[in-house]
Amino acid sequence: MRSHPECGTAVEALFKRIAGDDRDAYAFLVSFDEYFESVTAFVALDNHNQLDFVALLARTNTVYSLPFFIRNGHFLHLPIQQAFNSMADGLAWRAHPESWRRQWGEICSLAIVDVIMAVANLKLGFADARAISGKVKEIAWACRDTRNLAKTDIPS
Amino acid sequence: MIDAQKVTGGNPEAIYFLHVWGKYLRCVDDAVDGPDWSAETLLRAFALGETVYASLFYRKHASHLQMAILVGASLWSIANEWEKSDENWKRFHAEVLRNTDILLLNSVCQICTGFAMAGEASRAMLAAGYTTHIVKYGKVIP
Repeated sequence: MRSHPECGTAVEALFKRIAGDDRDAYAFLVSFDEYFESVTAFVALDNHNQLDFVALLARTNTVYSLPFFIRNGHFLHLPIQQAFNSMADGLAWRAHPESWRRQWGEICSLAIVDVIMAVANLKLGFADARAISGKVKEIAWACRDTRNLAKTDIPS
Repeated sequence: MIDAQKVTGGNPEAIYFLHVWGKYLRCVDDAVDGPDWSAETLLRAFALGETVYASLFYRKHASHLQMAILVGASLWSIANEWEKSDENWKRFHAEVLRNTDILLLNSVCQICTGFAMAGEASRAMLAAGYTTHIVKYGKVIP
């Protein structure tokens, strides 16, 4: 989301607000965002390059070896698993003949929100995380154009 | 077959780590070598990767294990490229390099049981890697 030409600044501000003065949290948010964006683009391709896959596996290791994840992996594990699960649902339904599945699939593909909100809950507590939850979803929705996914008939 | 009890000295966190690591490698292998390059398989591999790195053993010993994993991934990438090479020596090296999981097994063994046991285990693991590959695919290098 951070690489989005129009939303990048808003994403940057959001990550800084969530992380506060915790540089490790900020580094994790930035790295995970870039990683998840790359995974999303890679799995949506019809032809996959083996070497690109191995490079992404190496990045998988790098992201999850960051100090913030090392400290909080037990909290972040299930939200991240859920994000991958939602991403798989989104991809499975992206070209479905039924309109509602395509629409729901597109919302499922904004799965990174779960992980950002998990970090927000850790750093800000429930009340403050709840206060920015709508904004996180709004920004994720605005950033969806960077994704290499088929667009559905959901009005902008 | 690797004796996880022996390699880890019975450490339950290490045994769990090796268990999910094995599942992860099989999933990655199926994606790369198998016919199934689907988004579903690839996402399963990325999700399994997270499960491996979220495990207590990895998070406790990441500073020791990370380089074994990254170096292993790099060597495995070379093996994938060289196994299709026209040059005999590259195919020959690829046959050995593809067993990069031994780097990680060896690291786990060193953490849990020390250097001497790791040396003994790695030779057994190399032999098992050779036998498994020959049984599955036949001898690649004439």
